[in-house]
Amino acid sequence: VLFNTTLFAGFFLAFFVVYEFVARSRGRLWCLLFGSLIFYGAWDVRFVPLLVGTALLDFYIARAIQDEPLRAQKRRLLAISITANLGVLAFFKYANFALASAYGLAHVLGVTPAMVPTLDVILPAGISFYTFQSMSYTIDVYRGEFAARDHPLEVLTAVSFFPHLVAGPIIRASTLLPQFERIKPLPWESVRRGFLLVATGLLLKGIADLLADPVNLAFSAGHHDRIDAWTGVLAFAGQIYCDFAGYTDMAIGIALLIGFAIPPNFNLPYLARSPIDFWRRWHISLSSWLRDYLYIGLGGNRRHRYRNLMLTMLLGGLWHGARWTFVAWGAYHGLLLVLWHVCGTRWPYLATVHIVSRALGCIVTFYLIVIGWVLFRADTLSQTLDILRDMHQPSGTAIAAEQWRALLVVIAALVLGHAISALQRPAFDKTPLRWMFWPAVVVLFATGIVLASAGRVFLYFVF
Amino acid sequence: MSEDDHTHRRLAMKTLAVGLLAAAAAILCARLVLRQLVHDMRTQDRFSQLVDHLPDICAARDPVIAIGSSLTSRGFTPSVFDDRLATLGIHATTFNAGADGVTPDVMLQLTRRLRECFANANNTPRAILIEFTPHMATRAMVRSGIEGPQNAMRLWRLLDVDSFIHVARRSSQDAGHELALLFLGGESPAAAHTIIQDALFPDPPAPVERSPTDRVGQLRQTPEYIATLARFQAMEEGTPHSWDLARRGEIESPAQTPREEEIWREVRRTDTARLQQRRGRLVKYFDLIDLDFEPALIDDLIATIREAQAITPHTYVVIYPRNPGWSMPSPTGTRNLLAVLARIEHETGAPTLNLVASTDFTPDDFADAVHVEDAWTSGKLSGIVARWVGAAQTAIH
Repeated sequence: VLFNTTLFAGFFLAFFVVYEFVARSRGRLWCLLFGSLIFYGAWDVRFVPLLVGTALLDFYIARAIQDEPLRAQKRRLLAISITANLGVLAFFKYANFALASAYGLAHVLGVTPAMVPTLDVILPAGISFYTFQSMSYTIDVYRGEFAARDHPLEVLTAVSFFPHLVAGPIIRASTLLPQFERIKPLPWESVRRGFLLVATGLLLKGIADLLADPVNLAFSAGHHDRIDAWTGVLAFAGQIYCDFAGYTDMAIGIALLIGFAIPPNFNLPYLARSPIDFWRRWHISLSSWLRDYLYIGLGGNRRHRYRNLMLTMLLGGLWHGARWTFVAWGAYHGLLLVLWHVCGTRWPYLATVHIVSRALGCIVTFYLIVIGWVLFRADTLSQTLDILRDMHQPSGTAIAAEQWRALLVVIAALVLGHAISALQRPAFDKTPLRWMFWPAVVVLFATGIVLASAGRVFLYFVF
Repeated sequence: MSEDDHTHRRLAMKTLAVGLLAAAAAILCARLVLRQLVHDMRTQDRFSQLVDHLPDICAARDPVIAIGSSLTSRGFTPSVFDDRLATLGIHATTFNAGADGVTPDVMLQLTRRLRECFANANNTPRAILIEFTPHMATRAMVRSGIEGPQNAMRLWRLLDVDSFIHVARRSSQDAGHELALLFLGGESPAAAHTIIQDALFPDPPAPVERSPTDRVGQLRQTPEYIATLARFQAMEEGTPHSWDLARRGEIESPAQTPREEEIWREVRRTDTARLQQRRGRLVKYFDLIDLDFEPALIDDLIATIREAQAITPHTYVVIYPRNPGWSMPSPTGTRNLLAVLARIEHETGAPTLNLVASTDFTPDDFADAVHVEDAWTSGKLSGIVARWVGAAQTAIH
């Protein structure tokens, strides 16, 4: 069920009434669990056991880790949890990719099997998100950051928590589980913020859908004029931001409405001053997960820093999907991070906060991020090269007025996307325009309804 | 009850009340905006006007109704069909009930409404022709959602409780959309989205411009072509889909003289760049060649035929010809199509006229990759269908 559909509105209303008026404390947890399983089962009921199985496995392994006195044994148990989680992810998400890659390699080596072998598997919605969430629980218990739960209810509910189940943000067990211990009402200010986030999320999703046309045109077959290529690629930068930020805003808003706080996932990413800064602002839940559980696990800054960085970004790229372009996108960002760290170490004065260097940093970073989006969106590496060539070739013909207009509309959408996100900041609430809050929510919500394109799927659902 | 529970309840009541109020206000605002944006699109829709005229159709003497998509609306001429039937001694008043982008789920609801309408009028049609447009029933078409907004609005117009249950059983997403339309007064946000998107990002000009020195380029400079084009654009911008009961849905050619007609045809037919562009779109979004069918839509097609058979036993299924130069199905597509036809035959027993591989048609009979332009061929297609229906009716009598 998508958040921007009537079906979800009906589900949420029914859920809210039951959750708030019938259940109490532990009952609310049961209510959350059943609500979440119905939400997930509405997409495809066959994958509910997989979700429950993943959470239960981690629940029991975490308990075993906690009860186990021997460090080596604890490590073995953790390895079982990680292998099981990554194994499920690998089977559903990467099996066909691995087979196709093996076929390609065999072809290069001169062996030509009769046909590309494929497995007839469906990618379960949100598998990349909930396996990471579930894994973080056992890792945190292994690290002794908090105690394993005695009852599976809390862990099951945390992993299947419907606001973030299918497209994130990735919420660690350590964020939700303490809130489950005693469900306390959040202050009215939080609920108010929840309404605002749902409304802005809906509007951002509408803007993202509007940008689909120039994106599809630029990433279709054939060569394109320079301005069309730029329009399409910038439109994708806007589309992916508005789509994903819109989804996570709605997720955070819905969680606030039912009394749970989830940390933000974006912080005006296209205003980043460097690629390092970008990853502190973009998909924060994933980048911090990768930093804490992978990068630090590999040795972090202590040894082989740049190798760790490259590996983390490569795997981060692969997390997004089973395609070589995603791997290349991860490698590209890994290289940018390494380059910025090297430059920062050798020439620290480059990091000066002078307004000119900040502005220049923003422009250079935005350009590099946009180039990265070509890799992310293109179907193949050769298409990436074609589009990059189209973007940087001299324009052969005069630019039509419609082309300029399309480019300006896309730039305006990018600015608007960030302006809407800036509106959500608590500082806005303290301005003299505070009285406009509810009218603004209604207008944003109405605009979101008008722009909604009948439940067009969120881009991050496919990851 | 603890203090926390009290606080929880109070907060929940407040949240619910404020949420419902905000949602109601937002829906009201959205309805006003959508009415401005989408209302014309809905009311000018040929299908919508057809629904308005159903009582007149059901009251007509010996009516024949041809239900289908744009292939029917552009390829089937009622007056030619009536004349050919008359030569076989069968008198009928035929109505072209085809409209752009109609899919089997919409056809099913229309046929249900027809059944009710004929029962109220205490009349029985002489025949019902159900057009099966293969590429309007593919998975690719469903995935692309191109025809979704318009058809959702059409469905909403025809929906009653039984139909809603049918839609909900097939797709909860579609049912949700219909519910949204209920709140929004029948104006689809998806249609508004399309209108806004088209306004923001208009289609780029055709990639290949004709040289003014080649034949088509020269013909485009003629005053006759310029005048015809102006009339065509006026037709399109005016009320292109108007349902005119007197004409019973016949398509008018903008050309007014034989010379204009000749130039018009030549320019339109030989515009290869446009044909390629259109074919590419049909292959990508409609799976025009391989025809991987969506089972739910095939079920709806079969239900449509059964529903029509409940109105009259003289129900026929027609599959219109494909442009031999541009849209012939692949071996896979042919296999898939034949499998569906066998299922239709098995489950309904309705006579089927399959013109897909008909040798009676050449690429010149088509206005584009898929549409036979009956006005250009002196009603060739309508004549063939009339002869076949006439033979079937004579055989029965």
